[in-house]
Amino acid sequence: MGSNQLLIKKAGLYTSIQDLGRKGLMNKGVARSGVTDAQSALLANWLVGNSPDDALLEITYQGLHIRFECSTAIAISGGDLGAKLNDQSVERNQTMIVQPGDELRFEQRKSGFRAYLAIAGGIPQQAIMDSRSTHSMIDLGIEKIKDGTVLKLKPPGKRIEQRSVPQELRPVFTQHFTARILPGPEFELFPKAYIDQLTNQSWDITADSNRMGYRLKGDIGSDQLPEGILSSGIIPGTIQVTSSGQPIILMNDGPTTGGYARIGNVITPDLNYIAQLGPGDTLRFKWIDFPEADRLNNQYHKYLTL
Amino acid sequence: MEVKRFGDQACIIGFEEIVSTRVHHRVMSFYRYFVSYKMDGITDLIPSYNALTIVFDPMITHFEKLKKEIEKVSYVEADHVGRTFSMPVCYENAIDQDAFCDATGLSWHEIVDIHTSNSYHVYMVGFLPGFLYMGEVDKAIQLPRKKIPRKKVEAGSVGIAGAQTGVYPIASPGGWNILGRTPVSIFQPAAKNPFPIEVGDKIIFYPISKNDFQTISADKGFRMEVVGGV
Repeated sequence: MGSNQLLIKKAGLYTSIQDLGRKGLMNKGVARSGVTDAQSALLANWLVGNSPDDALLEITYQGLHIRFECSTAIAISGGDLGAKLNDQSVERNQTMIVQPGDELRFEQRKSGFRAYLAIAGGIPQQAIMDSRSTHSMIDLGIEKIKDGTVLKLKPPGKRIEQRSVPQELRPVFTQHFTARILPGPEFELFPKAYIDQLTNQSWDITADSNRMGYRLKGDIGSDQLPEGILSSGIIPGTIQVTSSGQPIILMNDGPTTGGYARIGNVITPDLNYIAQLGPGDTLRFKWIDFPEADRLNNQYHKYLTL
Repeated sequence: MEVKRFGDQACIIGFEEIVSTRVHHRVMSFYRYFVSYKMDGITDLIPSYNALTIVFDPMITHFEKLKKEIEKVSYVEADHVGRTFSMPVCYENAIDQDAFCDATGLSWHEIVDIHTSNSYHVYMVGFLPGFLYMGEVDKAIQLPRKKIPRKKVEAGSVGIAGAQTGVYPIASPGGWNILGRTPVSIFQPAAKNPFPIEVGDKIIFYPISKNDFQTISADKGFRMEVVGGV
């Protein structure tokens, strides 16, 4: 008789508990946090019969090693981080049953940068400010995933039906992505050459990119940058340009206000794919207009509710 | 006033690019309207010095609908009164005491006197959960941000950056010059109300000794006195 829990033998590069994030607290300076590739996380939760907002593990890069101490249903989606169950490679995007003593490792990044591990019943943590999402830089009291952490799980409930995400609906991640962007509030303050530079080149993702923001290598120009603005709201997807001309894409754990000029915003569906880029991968931008963005969002939400 | 789209799930109501309570009252009138109205699909509101950012769920509502709602809000000149809190600060052995004295040519006593003689309006809460951006600081004691931010500023530190004064809710890297520290916890994630102070409130600082700092730090039941407002 095992207990309903799992043991983190190795936490890997960075693993955290996340759900869809906190809402309604940006007026208090609290970032949304939550899964950075929401599309993949929703698939993982669906595969084990969870609700979309159930907490799961967001696994970064590689190195996570887990031992299950109970029988339960699990599913992995998102990036291919070389998952092996008891040394056998396992497929992503399908329901799997694990037994007490089973060991799951994420050995080597093959595609994408973040994988999601959903467990039937979710991760029943005490919610803090209405969410079970971890902020990567601020300790809000959500359990940190470290070597030796034990996570309590829900007792296995009703029989889980075996599910699989149809091949054509599985997101594909490559080491290069083109993100569609909308003009930001300070767009007009930038010289045309600087605006063009944003889309004229392929940008390297720097090593100090994380859940707070993606810092791109280089600049769009530095002599004729607009002055900073009075600090104002910023959200995941906002592209700020620093005083040296470096573009930064804000992610889920980013600050809620900032004073750098905002040249653009990445559209919501494309943020999922940016989250799957790691240092050394490359990114391009493509300007689109608001009607096009609305159309793409409708498509995206149709996909999510399939 | 100008309404702009901001990405595919937000918009901004923007006003004049100046720091003034007059402009901020306009921001707050829209903010309070949407706080009390609880319109379907609005997920977040970010009031700042001269703008209100409205974040929405594009599945539930859309920009055109929000814009219509924004146009309906009639601005009433009546000055909404936030609460005024009295916040204890220990100014003894402040880490940037020398920097302040050198830059201003004033004695530490004079600097503390000036900092505690104003009431400060909370224009914005941002950067960190519960970080208070307040103004305005008397010109005589204004200091710009440090060129190189400190790796760690203690929770409760009270700092100055230009015309702004602020309180660090938690330990964090920070570039403001620090002139004191409050024992009051302005962010408690697990509490029923994690944030005692809100945007639109006011704060008056008063000096306390090191001993008082220890006493208040240890007193879980300590509440700041509300000296004004509702």
